[in-house]
Amino acid sequence: MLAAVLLTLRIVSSGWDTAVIPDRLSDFVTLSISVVIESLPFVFLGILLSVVVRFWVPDTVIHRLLPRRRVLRRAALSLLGVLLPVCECGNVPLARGLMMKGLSVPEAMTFLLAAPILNPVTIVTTYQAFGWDDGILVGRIVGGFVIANLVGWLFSLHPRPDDLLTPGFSAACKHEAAHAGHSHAAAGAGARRGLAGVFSPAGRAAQKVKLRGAVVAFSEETSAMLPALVVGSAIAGAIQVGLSRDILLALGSNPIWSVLALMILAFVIAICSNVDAFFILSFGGTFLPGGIVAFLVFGAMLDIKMVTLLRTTFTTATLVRLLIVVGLASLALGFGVNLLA
Amino acid sequence: MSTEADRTSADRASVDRTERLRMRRYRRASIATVLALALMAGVLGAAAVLRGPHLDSAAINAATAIQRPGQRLVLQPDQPIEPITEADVSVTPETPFEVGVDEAGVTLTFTGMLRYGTDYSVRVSGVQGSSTGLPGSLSYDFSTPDATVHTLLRRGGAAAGPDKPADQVLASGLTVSSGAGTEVIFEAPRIQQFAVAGDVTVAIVLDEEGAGSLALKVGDSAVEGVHTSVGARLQNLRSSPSAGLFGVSVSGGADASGREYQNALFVFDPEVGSGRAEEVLGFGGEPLRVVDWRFVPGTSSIVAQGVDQQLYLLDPLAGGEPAALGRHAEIRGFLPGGVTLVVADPSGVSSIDLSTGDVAPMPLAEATVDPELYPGTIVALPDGGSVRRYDEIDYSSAQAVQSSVILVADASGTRELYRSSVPGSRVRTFCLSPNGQYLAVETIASGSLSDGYALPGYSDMTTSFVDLASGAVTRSVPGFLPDWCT
Repeated sequence: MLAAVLLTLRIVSSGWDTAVIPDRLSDFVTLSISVVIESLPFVFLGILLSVVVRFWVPDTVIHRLLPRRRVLRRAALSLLGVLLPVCECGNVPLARGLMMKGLSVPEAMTFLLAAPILNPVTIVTTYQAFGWDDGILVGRIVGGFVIANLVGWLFSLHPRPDDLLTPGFSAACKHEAAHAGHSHAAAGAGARRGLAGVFSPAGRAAQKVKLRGAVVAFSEETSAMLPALVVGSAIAGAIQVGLSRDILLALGSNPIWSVLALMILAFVIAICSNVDAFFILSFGGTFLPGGIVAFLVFGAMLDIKMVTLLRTTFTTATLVRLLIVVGLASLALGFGVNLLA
Repeated sequence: MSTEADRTSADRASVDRTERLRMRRYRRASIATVLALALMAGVLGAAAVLRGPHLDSAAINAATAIQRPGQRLVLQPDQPIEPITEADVSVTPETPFEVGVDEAGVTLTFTGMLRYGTDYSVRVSGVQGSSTGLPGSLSYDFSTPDATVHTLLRRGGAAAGPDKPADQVLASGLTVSSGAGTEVIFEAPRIQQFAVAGDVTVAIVLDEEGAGSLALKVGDSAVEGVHTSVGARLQNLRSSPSAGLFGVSVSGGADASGREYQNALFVFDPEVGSGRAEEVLGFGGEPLRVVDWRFVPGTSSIVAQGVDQQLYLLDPLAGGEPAALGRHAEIRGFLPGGVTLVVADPSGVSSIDLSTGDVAPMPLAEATVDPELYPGTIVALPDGGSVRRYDEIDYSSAQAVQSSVILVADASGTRELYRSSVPGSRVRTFCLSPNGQYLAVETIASGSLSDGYALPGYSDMTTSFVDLASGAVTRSVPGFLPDWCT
């Protein structure tokens, strides 16, 4: 809706002179729309892939492929985003589902933090935006992997991982585990039916239901993503137009403030990791690369929207601890990149 | 019973103790992790803050910097810096520049053109961060591309029969190491003259009877014809690579009204679909009869000399009336890297700045030479120096042997730049590269015969590239009429 308004405003305003539409408003609309237009194809690609994975990749495939050693298992899970390339907000329900299917809390946490960064859509968009310049892409990939596994390792030391979860969700997990035997039996029967089952009337009906569900999921994901994208783009445009260039330059060229300012911005604007590289690209000439990397790593792992979503699953103490560790690690990463770049 | 209860209680106590130990370990690990991360962030942050400015990025269009002066190198430091002076900046190899510091960073404006195929090194010392006050330095290395020079290789005489090998237009780099030798970009049985702009080659090609026509080739596509007046004599083919225009003077043939062309100047743009060359007109739309003409470097404008020796400045694309530049006996060409035209009169050499129209006498340094040498082609240098060919004829043997030497005369005196190395070979002509770095010297081998074309050449001609500063010959390629000279 907001995108339509901005687009209409831009088309209508193209014939106006500066007396009718101030330069700043014109700049704001142009900058905002440019971010939306750049990001849109990748958002749809991400949504499409996430829907395909959710509806047509069996859960058992994931479990069977994971290593048994906990460190390797977490490392593998942090790369699962390659197969499940969804944005961080889409990862929360996915991680909840994985925990219900028996994944431990630290493992789910590792996946939750790494998948928004270590997935093909995010990597491609980051490459499109920055290429190999200043180690931004490498910093994001390596930083995301290391931080996610550090958090996973830390929470794996907890003697009662269920205490990290809210009581309600913990109970739901236990309930799901109790009914797992029934599910496995049903899954086994389905597997035995094989292809014949797919082409049977019942199989065809199930496929229809699945397809309908996928369409609904696609539309839901689109409805969830696009407003966030448009609002994020509008904020980006407003910041660039509203904040004086001197302030931006002063913040962006300082090795400390460039990191802090962009981490705060990432936390506040809560933009999807699939498109955040395009959003921050417009700040690339003003801010030091360390700030950009910190934005791309911290914002993809935690932001206001994510914390709200995570509160449905994890206790406040867990989230505070998570926020501190991820925040400090991102800070160190940003400072390190500023030092080396 | 009580024993079993005791055992259960003991097990529970053991489990509780283990869990407490694990919880303590988890808390300690959490605190240690947070402290370690905080320490790491603090150390890295402090190191980043306490580091002086260094280069974040740099930008220069090296391809343009070898073609025209005034090109800029922008060095972007990673933090705002205090103003610097030219004394803080060094460029190797030495080249003139101006320096400025603004929001975009340090900007070096090269007042001259850069050298072809050269590695440049820029160092800015004494840089101080304006917010941190810390010292630092900026360093940047870049390379300029090599230039491509086109030459015409005539094979067999104009009167040769059907077995005559085709003439060729060749493209060559200035140094052997910079390119893969020489490439043939255009072929035709008889090529009188050629011009190149980008990937378009246009040539005046002759049939067996010697009648000329224009042929055009774009990249690797097939050769096409350019419509010109039937029966006309074509000469002085030139191009403006920056504007993508070609021009040629036409004599003979007639327009639709029956008017015969006499030294008419035609220009054409290969991009325009009509494929026709348009006549350049003078005052009041009257035909312009030219004895010589040039494209103004980097523009679509033309300087033309009428039959009455009057010089005109006109733009065939923009149209409008020509501007008269005064009468002069000879157009000598442009000084490298600008729009200053050098003209010669019996009274001396003058320069005309086409950007302002200012005419100024241009006294050229004269070489101190043996009076028995015969002076030939002379080229003016921007600093008031000159480069001139001198021929020497040795009558000591039964058959007189001619050889050539090229001398540079400037404020520091006279020095020999090039001498034909093989006895009996001589220099036909030479010209400066567009950036003034090299001379392209056309050499006629000993015993060569005229090829019989209307624009005559000789068998076995070569073009050598001579570094003006050192006199070193970087390469010799087959052919003559290098496009620097047209």
